[in-house]
Amino acid sequence: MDGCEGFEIAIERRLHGALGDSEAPALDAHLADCARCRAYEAAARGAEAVMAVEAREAIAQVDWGRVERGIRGGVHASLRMLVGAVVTAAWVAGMVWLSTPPAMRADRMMRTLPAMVLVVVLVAFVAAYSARRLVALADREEMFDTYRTLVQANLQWARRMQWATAAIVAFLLYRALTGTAATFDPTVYYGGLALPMAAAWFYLRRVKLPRAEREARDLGIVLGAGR
Amino acid sequence: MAAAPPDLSSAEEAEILAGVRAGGAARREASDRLFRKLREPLHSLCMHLTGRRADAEDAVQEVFVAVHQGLPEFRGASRLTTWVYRIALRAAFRARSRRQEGAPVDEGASGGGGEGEMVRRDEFRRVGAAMARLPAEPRAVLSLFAIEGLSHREIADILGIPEGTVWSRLHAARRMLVESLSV
Repeated sequence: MDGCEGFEIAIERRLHGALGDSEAPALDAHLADCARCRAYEAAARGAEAVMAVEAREAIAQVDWGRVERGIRGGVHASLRMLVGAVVTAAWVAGMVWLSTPPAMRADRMMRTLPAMVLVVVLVAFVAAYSARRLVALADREEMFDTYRTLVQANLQWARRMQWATAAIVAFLLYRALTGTAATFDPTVYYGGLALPMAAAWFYLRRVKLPRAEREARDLGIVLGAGR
Repeated sequence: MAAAPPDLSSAEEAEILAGVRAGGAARREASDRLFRKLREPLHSLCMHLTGRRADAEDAVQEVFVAVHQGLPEFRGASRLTTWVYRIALRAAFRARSRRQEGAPVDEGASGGGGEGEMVRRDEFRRVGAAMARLPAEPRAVLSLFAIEGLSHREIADILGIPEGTVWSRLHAARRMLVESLSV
């Protein structure tokens, strides 16, 4: 802290119309004598002017129709996630069907059904959460404290999930390569299950985790080891 | 200062919320009204926070999707505009995190040739790059203050900090920006 800090704050208050009339003469008198505060005022005014022009020019170029179409599409994103889950469940059902001898297919499908329903329910839960993720912050107290907590939790979740997913992929591949079964083809069955899990691992590792780390760094969160 | 003011009175906010709760066509109309009132200041905010027009547009889309889905459960613990701005801050940070670090910021629209235009574009680039080097919090404070029509009280509400603290936050952020400009 130095002697000019109070005047620099007064400069900001004047710039944003919050400096009282009674305080202005003292600030003007200080500015007349202080080159550093004059430079601060010039920098503040200059930066705000540039930001204003930049924002106005950017707004003039926005295709609001495209933005509105994007919003309409986004409103239905949760539904698309759910459809994706149903397609994935159908994929798994196909793997089960193909890897099972005809006589046992109905029985095995009935046994697999609860797991597939569980996957769809989980995705429905994630879709609902995803739609409300941005809103989660909105009614809380100190915004950045809450935001940091959320981002840290998200980062931890992504780190844990990538290892969990990798372990599941390794297990499925091991069973695909070494498994033996009289009633189904383990290579097709476990290999078919490993494929979407490997895609999920790749997404976590190459997209989700780096994104969470960039967001955390932007918020000043020191990233520990753990990747 | 940038962009049109939010210009959404408490009475208008109440009308919008009533429309949303009514559902059907009234909900669509209320959402459209909110979009038209806030789209420009929100775009400015997201533009300053992300440094890129494309990211800003993505963030604005995300904000209104989240608002559309979250509005029926909005309890009115804060003003509607405060709630929307808080969502916008997070959407902009997330949009920024989707691109690689060190990706260039926009340099402003080209307004033709000439030396004046080159100087102007150079200023855009310099301020944009300096903003991009700042951490999220000072960038948010400077960006909120760059929006015309947002008072320091509203900014304090958005950030969830005491009214008296907002000036010292702005001052600290400005100092960081001045230092960043001299890099």
